Amino acid sequence: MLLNQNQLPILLVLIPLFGAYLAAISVLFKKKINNILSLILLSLSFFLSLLTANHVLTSGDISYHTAGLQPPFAIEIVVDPLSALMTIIITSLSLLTVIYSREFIRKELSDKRESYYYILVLLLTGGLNWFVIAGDIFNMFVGLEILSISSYSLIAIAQNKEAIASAYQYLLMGSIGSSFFLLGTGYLYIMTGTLNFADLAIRIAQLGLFNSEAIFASTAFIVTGLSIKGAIFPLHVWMPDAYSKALAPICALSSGAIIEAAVYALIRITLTVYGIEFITEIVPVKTILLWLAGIAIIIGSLYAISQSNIKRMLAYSSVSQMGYIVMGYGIGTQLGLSAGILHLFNHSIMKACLFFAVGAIAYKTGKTDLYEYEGMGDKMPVTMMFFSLAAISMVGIPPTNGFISKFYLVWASASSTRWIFAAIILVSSLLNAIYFFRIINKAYFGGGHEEASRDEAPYTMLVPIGVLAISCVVFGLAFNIPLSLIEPVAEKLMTLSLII
Amino acid sequence: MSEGPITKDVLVKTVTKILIPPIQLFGLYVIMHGHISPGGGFQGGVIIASSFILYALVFGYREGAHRAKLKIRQFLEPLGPIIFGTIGLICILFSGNFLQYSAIPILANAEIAATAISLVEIGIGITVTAVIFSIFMAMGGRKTDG
Repeated sequence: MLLNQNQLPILLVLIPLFGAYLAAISVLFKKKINNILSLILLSLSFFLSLLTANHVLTSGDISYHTAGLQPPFAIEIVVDPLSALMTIIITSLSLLTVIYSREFIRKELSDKRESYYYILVLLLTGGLNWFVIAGDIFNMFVGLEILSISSYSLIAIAQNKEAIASAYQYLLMGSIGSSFFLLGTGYLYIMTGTLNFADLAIRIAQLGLFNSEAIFASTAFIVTGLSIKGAIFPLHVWMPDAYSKALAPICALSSGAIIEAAVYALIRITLTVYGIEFITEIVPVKTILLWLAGIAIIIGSLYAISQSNIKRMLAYSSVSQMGYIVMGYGIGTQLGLSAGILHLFNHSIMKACLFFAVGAIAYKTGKTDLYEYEGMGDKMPVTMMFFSLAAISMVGIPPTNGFISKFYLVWASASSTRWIFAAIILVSSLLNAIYFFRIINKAYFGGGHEEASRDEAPYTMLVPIGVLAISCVVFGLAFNIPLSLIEPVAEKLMTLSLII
Repeated sequence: MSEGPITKDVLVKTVTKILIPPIQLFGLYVIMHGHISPGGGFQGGVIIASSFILYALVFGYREGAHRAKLKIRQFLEPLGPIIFGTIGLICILFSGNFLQYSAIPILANAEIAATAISLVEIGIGITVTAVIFSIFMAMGGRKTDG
C-alpha cells in the first residue's frame, strides 16, 4: 500500500487545511463548487478518522514525527483512543454541518460569503483536528489559534450589526484566552526548555519543579485560558451572545466541537503535563473546577429557564452541560473522568442536533422564540420529532445517551461519596426537563393546530438532524463503543505518576 | 484620497520609482536566504509587500489597485500554503513523513534538500506579499472596490 497507516494522523490535519486553500483557489474559477468540494474533503477526513480510531484500537497509539526528526525536536502528533474519538466527533460534525449548510447558507448568505463560509469551515476543522492530536503544547496553541480565528469569522459572517458586535465580544474574550494559554506555555518553556507533552512531564518531575511559582502561574494561565475557550462557568459570558446571533450550523459546530475540544485540552494538559497528584494536592485545580461545575450546572439551567429565545436557551444549557463534563473530571476518579468524557461525546451529539433543528425551524418559518412554537408539531413534524428526541436525551430519559452519561456521573459521584454532586445532577435534570418540556409542550399541545399546514425542511437539512437524533438513541444502547475509546485513556491518565 | 495621485511632487515619484526595484530585490534575497541566514518567507514577503504599499501611497490608491489586481491577489493568497502542503504531501507519497525531504529520491543529498525548504519559503513569501498588501488595501478603501 502506497500510504502507510502511520501517515493517517497528519492527513487528518492536512486534508481539511490544504482543502481550505484549494477551495479558496477553485472558487475563483468555478463558483458554487465549494459545497461539493468541502463535502468530499470532509467525508474523506471522516473516513480517515474512523480508520485512525480502528488502527489505534487494534495496534496501539500512533506517534508521528514531522520532518523525519525525533521528538522532542520534531513536531510530534500523538493519537491515542481519546484523541481519535475527538477527531471522529469533529470530522463527523463538520461533515454534517456542510451537508446541512447546502440549503441553509444559500438562503442566508450571498454567493461570495457562501464560498468564504465553506473555506472557514474547512479551516476550522483542520484547526480542531490539529488542536486535539498535537503532541506538543505550542502546536496545540497554533491549532487553537486557527480554530479560534475561523470561528470568530464564522460568527460574524452574517454581517449584520448584531452578529459583528457579538463576534467582536467573542474575539476579545477569545484573544484573552489564547494569550493566557500562550503565557502559560511560555512559563513552562522557560522552566523546562521543552514543549513536548511527554517530555514536559518528565522534565518537571526530574527538575523538581512542583513547588516553583512559575509552574503555578503556568497552571493558572493555561486553565483560565482554556476555560474561556471552553465556556466553563464563570467565563462563559461570550457564549450566549455569540450563539444567539450566529447562524445555526455554526452554533452546532461550535457547541458540539469547539468548546468540547477546549475542555478536552484542559483535561489532557492538566493530567499529562502536571499529573493527577499536582492538580489535586499542590494546586487544587480539580476541587475548584468541581465546585465551579456544580454552580455552573444549576445557574446555567436557571438562566436557560429564563430565556425565551431558543438559541440563547440552548447556549445557557451548554454552560450547564459543560459543567457536567468538568464535574466528571473534578470528581477525580477514573470512573468520574470516563463519565465526564462520555458526556462530552454525548453532549456534542445532542446539542448539535438541537441547534440544527432550531435552525431548520428558523429557516422555514423565521421563528426563534419559544412562544412562537405553537403548532410546530403539526407544521414540521419530522424536525420536531428529532428535536424532541434530542431534548429527551438532554433531560436524561432512558434509553437515550444523555441518560447513560448522567447515570455514570451520578454513579461516579456516589462512589466517591460526594453526595451533593449526585444531588446537583438529579436536580438539574429536573430543571432541564422544565425548559425542554416547555418547548415540546408548546409545539405539540399549545394550540395553533388549525392554521398549521405541513411544511417540512428540505432533505439536506433533515438528514443531519435525523442522523444525530438517531445517534442519541443508538449511543444510549451502544454506549460501550465510545467507552471502549475512553476507558483505556482515562485509566492511563489517572495512573500517570510523578515518579517516572 | 481615492482620486488620483496624492502628490504631484516629481521628486517623490522619481525617488519611489528608483527605490522600488532594490526593495523588491532585497525582499527576494531575504526569502531565498531564509534557510541559511536570518529572515525567511514571512520577512521577505513583508518587504516586497512594503514596496507595493509605497507605490500605492505615492501614486494613489487606484493606481496601486491597478498594479496588483484583486483577482491576482486572491489567487496568490492561497497559493503559498498549497505549495507548502504539496511539498509535504510529496514527501508522504514517497513514504517519508510530512516535510521529510530526504524521502524524495532527488533530494536525498542533504545540500540539495535545502533547496526544498527554499520552495516552502517562496510559497510563504508569495502569500505574505499578497495578504499584507490586501490588508493595506482593505484598510485604505472601504468604499472603493480594492
